[in-house]
Amino acid sequence: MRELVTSAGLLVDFSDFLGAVERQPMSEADLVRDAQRGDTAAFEELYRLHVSKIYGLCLRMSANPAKAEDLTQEAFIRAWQKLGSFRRQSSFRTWLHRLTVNLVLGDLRSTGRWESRLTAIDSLPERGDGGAGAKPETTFDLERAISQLPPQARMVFVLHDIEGYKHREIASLCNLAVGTSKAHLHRARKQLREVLKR
Amino acid sequence: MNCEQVREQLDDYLGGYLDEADRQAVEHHAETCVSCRADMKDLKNLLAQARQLSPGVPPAQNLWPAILEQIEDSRAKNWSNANRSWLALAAVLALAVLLIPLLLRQQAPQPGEQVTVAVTDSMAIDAATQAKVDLARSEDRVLLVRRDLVEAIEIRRDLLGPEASQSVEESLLVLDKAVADIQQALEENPDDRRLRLLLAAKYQHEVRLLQRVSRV
Repeated sequence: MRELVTSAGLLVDFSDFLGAVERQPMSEADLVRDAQRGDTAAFEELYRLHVSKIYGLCLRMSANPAKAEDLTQEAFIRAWQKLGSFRRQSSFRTWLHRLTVNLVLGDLRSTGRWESRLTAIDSLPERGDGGAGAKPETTFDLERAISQLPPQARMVFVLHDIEGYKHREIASLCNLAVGTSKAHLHRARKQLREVLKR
Repeated sequence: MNCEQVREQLDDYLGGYLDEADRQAVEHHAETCVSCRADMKDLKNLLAQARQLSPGVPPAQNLWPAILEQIEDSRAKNWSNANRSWLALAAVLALAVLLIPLLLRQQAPQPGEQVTVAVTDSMAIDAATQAKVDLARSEDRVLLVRRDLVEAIEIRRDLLGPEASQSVEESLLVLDKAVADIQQALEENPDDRRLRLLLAAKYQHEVRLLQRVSRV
């Protein structure tokens, strides 16, 4: 038992209080600060706080679970490497999110899947890349339908309609004209609505 | 607006990108057009479903062990690279520190000793003035080292990793303090030989700190 004699001479058992303090989760700012000092345990906490969001983003953007796992790993490794440059001008979540979006876009570019669609906006397939026979469930499976969109349309839809980015931001991130971003979103929504009606 | 124009504007309308006049024109048309109203309803339904998607999807397996392994690998590489860089920098600083006491001993007057240094044929300065010059040079040297340090950090910040960056930044703060001490000492008593030796010892202390950073 841990005890404390108060100024009034009372003996107080403060085990419960200390236990509560010890169980108190650290704030994200504290975790970031400790991780910046090289504390991998603090960084692991940050990983646990954000991994679902980051994996979800990678999965929706890549439409490939194995690739999404690789990208999620890479995002956290890069975050660790760049943590020293994080200046708290934005939240850690926003910073990590941006870093991940850039990483996924870079991966798509490097594998050629992005460019292959740049010239193909007007030849958007009716049911997307993975559409052969892949009719969504009767109860509309939006996730699945999103995964069937072509890469750029999917990327713009995920960033705009799920993640809340504006066209100006998407255009900057993806190196597109604002009008092109709008065109991709229009095509994506149109395709999803058609799937929704089936 | 006709139906075609409204359908072209629907995305911007729902995204809040339209100005007031266009927004009102779309709403006015939708009030009177069943087809466009249905399109708008479909689109709103889609966006509502998109917003309801869970923002997070847990991966099928725990990715942390693989991440930690790569972090440790990259950290080991970074330390190795950083060590080479910092050892070189520390060597320059160590050389400077070795030279400073020598310089101070050469220039420091012994008690009661009158020292003059010929600068030109026609001009001589006394020991006190020379001491000021020496300390000013020392200060310049520390500032140069600090500048190099800052540049090295900026160039290597991404490679150094958070722990190394933190250590270096703390070392920089120590250097800043040393520079402040030198400036204060200069103002208060430029002729005090013991003070100048103390400052030299302070330089050595800073170098030991930097060497420790480079060896971690």
